[in-house]
Amino acid sequence: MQSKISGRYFRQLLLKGFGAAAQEKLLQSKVLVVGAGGLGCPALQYLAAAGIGTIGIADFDKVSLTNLHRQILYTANDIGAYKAEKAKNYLSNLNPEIEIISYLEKIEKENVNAIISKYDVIIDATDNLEARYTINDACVFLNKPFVLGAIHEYQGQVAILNYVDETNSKAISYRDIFPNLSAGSELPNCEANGVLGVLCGIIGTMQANEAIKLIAGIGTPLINKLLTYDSLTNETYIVDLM
Amino acid sequence: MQMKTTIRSFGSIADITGSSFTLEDVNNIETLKVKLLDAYPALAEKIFMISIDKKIATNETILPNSTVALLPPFSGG
Repeated sequence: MQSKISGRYFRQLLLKGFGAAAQEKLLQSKVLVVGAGGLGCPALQYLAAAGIGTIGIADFDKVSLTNLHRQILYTANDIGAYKAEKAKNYLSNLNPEIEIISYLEKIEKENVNAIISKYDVIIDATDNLEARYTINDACVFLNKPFVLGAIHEYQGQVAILNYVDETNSKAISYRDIFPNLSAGSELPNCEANGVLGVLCGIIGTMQANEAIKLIAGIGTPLINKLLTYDSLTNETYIVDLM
Repeated sequence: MQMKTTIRSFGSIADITGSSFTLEDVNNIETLKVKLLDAYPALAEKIFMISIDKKIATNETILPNSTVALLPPFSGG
């Protein structure tokens, strides 16, 4: 069994409670990352390196100079290029043994179901509420779990929503937590309020960690729990959403 | 004797209230909402989830020594 698995995963195969069985689950899994920006870049790097078998990257945006302090898959030479294409190129070199698919169109009501239906776990690494609700509603409709990540100034949020299994009978959706947000109640994003790149790195990496735990069946993923991390104090505050 | 409840605020709510404060005689969620708006009228414009002792709250009683948290949605990424 283990001989079929690439040597690149050797150090994680050594981990207690991980091993070949968990690695096989990662290799068989399909993860879609929506947004290849501040959260998506670190999440994508670790998911690809860990051996998620199929990774989708959805982002319609192009690289700009103001992205480079936090969107660490891109260089100054990439300015003006599609993020999803550049990210795909980088990750294909990082791990040529996995499949990587890029989507250059905006994720909207019209196309979201067709794209999300091909994946097992969705990483919401978007930067606006409209996209978050679109992803949430498609995940509810298609019965897919999604790993939420979001930033406000020096703080970040992580949660696994819409997940059901034999031990967790009730799926909590984003609308269960924040039902009263309308399209008009847009919140400040990183463009308006600013952000340190390293916080995006921490939260995006936590999203990748939660996806890996969920898929591999290890540890206690943040299912129906909202974690808030404060980068100024290092405090984490976890709220049970059930 | 008056009961004091500790309240933690996150994200944009903390910009209004500070990251931690106390309110007196807050026995349930409805009283909490009224007293929050009295103390910080700017919260009327804000959307946030309320937790009691790290569990999402609906209309429960707030017991002495409970910690309440106000958690708004974050949007950046």
